[in-house]
Amino acid sequence: MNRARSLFLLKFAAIIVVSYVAVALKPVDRAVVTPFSKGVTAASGVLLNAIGDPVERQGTILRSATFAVDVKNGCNGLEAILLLVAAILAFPAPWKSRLLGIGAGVALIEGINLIRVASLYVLGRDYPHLFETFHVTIWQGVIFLLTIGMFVYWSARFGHPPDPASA
Amino acid sequence: MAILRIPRALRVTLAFALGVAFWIFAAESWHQVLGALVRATLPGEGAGALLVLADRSEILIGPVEFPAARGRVPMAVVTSNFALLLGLWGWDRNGFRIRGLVRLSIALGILGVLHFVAVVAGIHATVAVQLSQWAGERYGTFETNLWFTLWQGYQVVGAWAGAFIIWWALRSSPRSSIKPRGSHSSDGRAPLHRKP
Repeated sequence: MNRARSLFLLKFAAIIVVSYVAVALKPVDRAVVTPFSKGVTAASGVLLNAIGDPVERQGTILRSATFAVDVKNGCNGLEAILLLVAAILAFPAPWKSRLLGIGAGVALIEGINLIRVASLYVLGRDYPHLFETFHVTIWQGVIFLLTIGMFVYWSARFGHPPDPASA
Repeated sequence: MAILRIPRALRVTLAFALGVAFWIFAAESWHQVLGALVRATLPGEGAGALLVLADRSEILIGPVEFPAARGRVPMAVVTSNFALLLGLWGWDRNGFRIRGLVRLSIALGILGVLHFVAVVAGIHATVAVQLSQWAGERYGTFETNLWFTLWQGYQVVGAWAGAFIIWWALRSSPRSSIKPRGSHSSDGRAPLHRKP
């Protein structure tokens, strides 16, 4: 592995550990993460109501008479945002490009995440035997695959090219 | 191989779908292997007051005499990053050629070690947080917080970041066919940054 790759991975790992510990702290969770999850829940509720699936929202819970989902950490898209931000900050690029990548990436991740939450609600209600597989494996994999895809696209289009001497 | 010639987005999608299908087919066997490895390497947990039982979908830990007091480590959250790693492997055209497959084997070996470490962290976190009355004084505040943070961190972002790190470290070539902004060349490098 060349020096540029190693340096990127070291920076990425350091940033993601620090940012995870930061969001795991109780004051940050209370002030930022929980309100964020409530916002995601509210937006997903609006989406479900708009497509003709009436739900009520209570904090981070979406419920109807027959089914309910709780949008917890890991379902609010924050984990994918942490990965994207850590990767973009660790990659050599101008700050303007980084901000552009983070802004566009966060918007895309949260847009996809709304579809994930709404689809998991419908899936859990109508096909409960499929819920766990889609919840843990398929949707999480899709979200992270798209997040990493966004980063790789951004790094190739807006990042500094690797120094040929270090390759 | 035909999979090498198809567009990248389709190749990644197919590789991810293959990963999901293989995971659904083989995960239970892998979970049992992981459970057996954990039992072999944590003999104190199995033989003492706390029992470690490996199921197809979870590891159960708890006092032998009180089954109701058992904690559980769900295995799906530990191992489902396999599908992501396989999906990422579809990114590079050379990922499924012979050398790419050798690298993939190495990547899967590292991923297996990561799964084992995650299960160990999950067991320690479960014992320290849920079963502290059975664990004696083995876990102080620092150890409890450390294992819990490691286990939570793995579940939330570590599993996926781990797969990304393994892929990025072992992928065959980081050079992309995506055209950099301001470039009129197609070799993936911006002319402004070329050395003379």
